Amino acid sequence: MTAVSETMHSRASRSSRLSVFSRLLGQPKGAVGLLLVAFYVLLAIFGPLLAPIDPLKQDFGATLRSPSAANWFGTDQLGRDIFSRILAGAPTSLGIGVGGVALAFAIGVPLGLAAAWRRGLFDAAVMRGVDVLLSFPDIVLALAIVAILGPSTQNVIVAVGIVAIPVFVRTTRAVALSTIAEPFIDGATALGCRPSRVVLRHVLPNMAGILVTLASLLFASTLLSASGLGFLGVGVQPPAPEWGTMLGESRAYIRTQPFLATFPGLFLAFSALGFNLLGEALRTIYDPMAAKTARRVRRVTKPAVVPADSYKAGHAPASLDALSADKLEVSYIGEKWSIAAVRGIDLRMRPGRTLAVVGESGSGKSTLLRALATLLPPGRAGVTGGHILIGNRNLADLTDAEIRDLRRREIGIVFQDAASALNPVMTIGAQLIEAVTTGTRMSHEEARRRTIELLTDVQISDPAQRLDAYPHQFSGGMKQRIVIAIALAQSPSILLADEPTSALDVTIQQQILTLLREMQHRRGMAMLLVTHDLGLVARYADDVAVMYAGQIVETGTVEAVLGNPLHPYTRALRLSTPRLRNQSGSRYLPAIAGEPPPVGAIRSGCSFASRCERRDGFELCVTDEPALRPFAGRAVACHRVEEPA
Amino acid sequence: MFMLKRLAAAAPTLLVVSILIFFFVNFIPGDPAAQLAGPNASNEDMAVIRENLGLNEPAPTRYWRFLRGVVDPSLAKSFRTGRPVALEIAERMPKTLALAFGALGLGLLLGTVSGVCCAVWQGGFFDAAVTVLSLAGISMPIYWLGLLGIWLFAVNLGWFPAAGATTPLHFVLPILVLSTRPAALFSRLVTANLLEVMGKEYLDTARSKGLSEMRVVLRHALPNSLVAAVSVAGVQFGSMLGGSVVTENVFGLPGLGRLLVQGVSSSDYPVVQYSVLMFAVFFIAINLFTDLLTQWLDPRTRGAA
Repeated sequence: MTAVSETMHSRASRSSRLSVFSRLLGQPKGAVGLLLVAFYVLLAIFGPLLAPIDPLKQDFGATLRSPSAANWFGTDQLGRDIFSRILAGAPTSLGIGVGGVALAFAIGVPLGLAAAWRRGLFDAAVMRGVDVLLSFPDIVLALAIVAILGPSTQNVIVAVGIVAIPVFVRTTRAVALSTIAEPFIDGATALGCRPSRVVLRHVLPNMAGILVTLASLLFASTLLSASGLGFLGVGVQPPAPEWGTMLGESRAYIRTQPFLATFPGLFLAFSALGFNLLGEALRTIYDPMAAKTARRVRRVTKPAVVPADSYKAGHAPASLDALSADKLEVSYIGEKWSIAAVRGIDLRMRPGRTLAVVGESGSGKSTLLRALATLLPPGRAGVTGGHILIGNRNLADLTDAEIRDLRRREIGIVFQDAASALNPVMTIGAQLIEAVTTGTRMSHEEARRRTIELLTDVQISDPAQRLDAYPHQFSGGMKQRIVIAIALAQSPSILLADEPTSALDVTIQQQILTLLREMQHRRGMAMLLVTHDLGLVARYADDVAVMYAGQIVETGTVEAVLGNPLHPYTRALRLSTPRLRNQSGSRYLPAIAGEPPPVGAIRSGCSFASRCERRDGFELCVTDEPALRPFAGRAVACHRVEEPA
Repeated sequence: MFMLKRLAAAAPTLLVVSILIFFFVNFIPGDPAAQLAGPNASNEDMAVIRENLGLNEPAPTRYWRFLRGVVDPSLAKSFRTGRPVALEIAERMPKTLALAFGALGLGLLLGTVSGVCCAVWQGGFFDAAVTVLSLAGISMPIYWLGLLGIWLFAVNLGWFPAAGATTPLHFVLPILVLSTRPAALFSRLVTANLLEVMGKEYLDTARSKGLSEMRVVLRHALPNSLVAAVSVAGVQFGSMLGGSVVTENVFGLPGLGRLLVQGVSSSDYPVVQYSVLMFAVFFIAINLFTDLLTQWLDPRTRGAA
């Protein structure tokens, strides 16, 4: 390792230390924790000096007194001042915790590092030892050690220290193993660093944060075990003041003088709380896995809808559409922002026909499907304009119960990845029966019969025998068949398929799509097929809508749009699809240059302009957004569609 | 089958642990017999103690005797009271078991309920209250909580007896006190895991079936989050057993924990040895139980059916 990178390393660690401090203060847990810890550190240092009365001075004329001006916390059974005893006991009470953790740290960390570094027999032996130590409940082990060594302050530290060793060994070893696996460690070794140096300079600093976190959390529990030994009468021996021992002595006087137990307990509890808070705050900084996810459980089923126009359900024209969307706008909503992922889409789905929605990832096609499926995550995304009609009913007007009914009987959804769409801990029978019976009054036998029928429909052999199997016992293609069966459970009129085959291999893809098409024809469903694969569109869809940056840029029948694509984006897509190309084409597939604009960063003009082959010299493309207009048997959103390509 | 595998894995640990406890007296600095006999013992006394401890026999014989002492009253006797240790264990074990499993069950139940509520009302008042309570729960010394409980419920309100173990009512307060820590730990685990699970796609599948959100959470999300929570919590429940030692002493409940502490404070080595052994066995059994529970909750760990 060069000198330059070493200075960079140490500088980085210094600035990170500063930021750790400010990040600790930035969270309530960290701020309160630091405050408490600071208070206890001061108490441990200055407590004995501040004690107003000799903590050991007995006064049999004034035993078991309640708090007063002379004795702030009252007096104990021997007339000693409790306030003074708590102050004088602080160094011992906190010291046994510090000593225990320090002992465990000093033995546990090197052992863990050595185990991770040497591996092999040494590692196995250490881990076996850890297992054995962990086979005792901690205070039982501490008691056994005290039984051997005899009760005294020193021996309590040794006992609680030994108890905490396994935790340090395990954590150090686990973290060291993952750090050693990092490439930069290999680099340092390859550059000829001695192993001890690699560990000291690279492995240890990388785990310092986690070790500090662990020490803080362990300090809280070690302190409580150590005082626990005192409480049980086998820790710090009287008359020395120690909070746990004081609590133990108060046990006999709980009826006559509860204050005896109140104050030592409060001081103990708050010290443990301080270190627990600090440890947790540290953990959110050093262990990203522990940081709280921003998710929450949903309470509303209904998607958030902001009525954007004055549409009234009563005025709806009677139509044959199974589902239609008008000027649909769907946005993701943050605390102070909202980003439109679907920007003003019109589409219709008719019974017996398949509409394919095609686009790159990020085009908004999956968001569109979720909006139609009534499955937008509430609070994070919602319909912010236009409306969705299912049959003649406006989604925005429906109650939660009506939405649920819609999901049961009208809409079926086939998800992209069947492996994650099935609940891993429920049998597929239970998952199907639930789909079949929800909202109905069906007997168990009837539900079972119907479920077997469904599984037969999606061509799963031996359905009756497989009802008790779990998802992980099926192949990917089989799982997708089960997802389809769930979607079809209550004979919906609309089937929404979100890239239903992209997680499957090619031969299975064909089987699944053929099955979907067959089911659709047999049941006369309207199907929406979201995909990025034009080859699938050509083979399985009737109509197609090409999406780009949250809008439809070209839509019409598959023959019209794929046979003679007019929008430059559709054309580029088609050229990059191998199966649809002419035989005369070159052997290389052209890629579409550039990338789609990120959601929310759409400027004025045509959103495809920056990647468009035709954009040069036509100002309208940069200033005005093209609208969909009918042209040559389809609708296209391009200013220059009339020009020959 | 799984059970057998887990038992086979636990057996070596149990063997090492029991041997360790068997050699326990040898860890005592100096000659164990001299330690036991005290400073004023004559050589004859020491010889008797040696004979009683079986120190003159070969180690494997002594080890076997030691193990049989768990059930055979004629083999091991308390130094302090002279009662057979096997009898003490037989009398006290059920009380400790009732306390530990009562607290474990109550803790799991409370933790699950409050964990689910916290996840549902994330960021709300309930969530904040439980976060504070659970932090208090893991920071509060259990012996102090016990004392406060006695003061409030036994001394002031008179609802429960303060000490003893003669009626089921005697167990209510200790179980309540002992369950706080597992409840606090489990509540946080359930909340964290439930929030993690809430992003999974199979919940959208469940919603797309037209299930109510309540059913989606309780039937689909909760079992999945419990799988992870239980396997993590299993390790923590061991500390609850330690808590039972303290709790028994706070409430004067004559269980194994009380026996152990009496043994330690009076240097009653056979009593210490056997009660530590029983706790270790018990602890390993709880870990086995947790594994079985995880396996029951998660079909993927059951192996190919």
